[in-house]
Amino acid sequence: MDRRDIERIARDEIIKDFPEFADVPPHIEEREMVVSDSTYEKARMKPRKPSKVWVAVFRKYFKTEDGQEIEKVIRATIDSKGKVIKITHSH
Amino acid sequence: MKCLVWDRKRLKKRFGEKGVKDTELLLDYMTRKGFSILQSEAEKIPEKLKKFEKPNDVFILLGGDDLIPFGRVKNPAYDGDEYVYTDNIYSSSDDDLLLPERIVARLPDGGDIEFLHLLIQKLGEDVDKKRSFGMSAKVWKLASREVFRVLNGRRLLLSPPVTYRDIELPSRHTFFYFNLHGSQDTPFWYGQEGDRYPVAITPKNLEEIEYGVVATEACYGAYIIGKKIEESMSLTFLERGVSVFIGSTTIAYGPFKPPSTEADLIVKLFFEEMLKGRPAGKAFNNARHKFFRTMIKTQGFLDEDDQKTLLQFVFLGDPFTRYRR
Repeated sequence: MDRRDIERIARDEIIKDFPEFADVPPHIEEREMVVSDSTYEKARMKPRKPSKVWVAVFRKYFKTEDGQEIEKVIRATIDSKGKVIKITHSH
Repeated sequence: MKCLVWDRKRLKKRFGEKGVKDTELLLDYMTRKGFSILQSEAEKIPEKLKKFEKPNDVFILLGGDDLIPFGRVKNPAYDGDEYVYTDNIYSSSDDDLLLPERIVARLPDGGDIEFLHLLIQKLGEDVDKKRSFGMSAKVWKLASREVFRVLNGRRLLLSPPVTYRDIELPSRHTFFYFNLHGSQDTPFWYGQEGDRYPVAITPKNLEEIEYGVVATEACYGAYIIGKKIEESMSLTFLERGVSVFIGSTTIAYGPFKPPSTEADLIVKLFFEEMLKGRPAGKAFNNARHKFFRTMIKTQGFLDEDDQKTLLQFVFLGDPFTRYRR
């Protein structure tokens, strides 16, 4: 998987439900998601190995009916095989 | 131990000598009701709590950001927030802020010392009769129903069509759930359908509220920095008589359909814990720990929006409030 594959996967998934983001270029990063051992300890869980995932972030500004500008962010978290783990958006 | 934490110097700067004297009188009264008092420079509070605390202690920070500043943590997510404002610097026993162990609540002041004193005096009020109010942006109705289901809510209001012009809020419901858009520049919360973002609710809509527990997923739902009471939904809810307000200080995230994740999940778990009869502060802490375990079990890791969720949700109000059947 490279950046272009991730963009295609994220875009296909997001445009289905959020067509208003069709013209937005995403910010794409490959990230290692690390949780510290002390956090696992606080949760009384055994530490797990860090996971590498891709995150594609689409950002766009919209106007509310009273004229306020609000930023809407949609995030696609995608694993190294190209599987979409989740899509979330800002509230 | 239940402990009220304040900074005399900062309170004097904001409310003058009279503000300090009135607060000291009230705190004397609260010690007779079984509270301990910790007076400290705000910057030293995290260290002092370590020396002060015993298991199951509850700490209540007196005042908003001017009196006891929120922690400023670099935002882990790529969005418009530079920092995440968090109380985890007080609720964590170490520098690892993601999953705090302590129960810490905040009573904001909204620039009005009488408001802060009222919140202190009200500590310990319970709620009963499970009646629930829910309101969601129409675009998130599926995700919101999954959260509202926990409360057995009868009817989830959707915006649009409902807006601040026609919304009617019940005066004595126990639980209030909101899944709407929010902004740091306005106190209003917004609905959404497609490109339409109507004003769903404003502080003026809260006149009938007398009581209850509120949890909101709105971005900036608990952003109170520099806000007067009427400039903030959270402060207005508390001023109207709500005991507990759970919300986010910054841009919050959630799914648009089940399963619940991020803001949806933390709010859902909080309501579940409240319904078990736990005190609200304990319910909030349990919800954060369950959030962590759920995401690790289902996803295998925490990504940036999960981390941000654990940092940004804050507890405003009374940590002792309990739902009694």
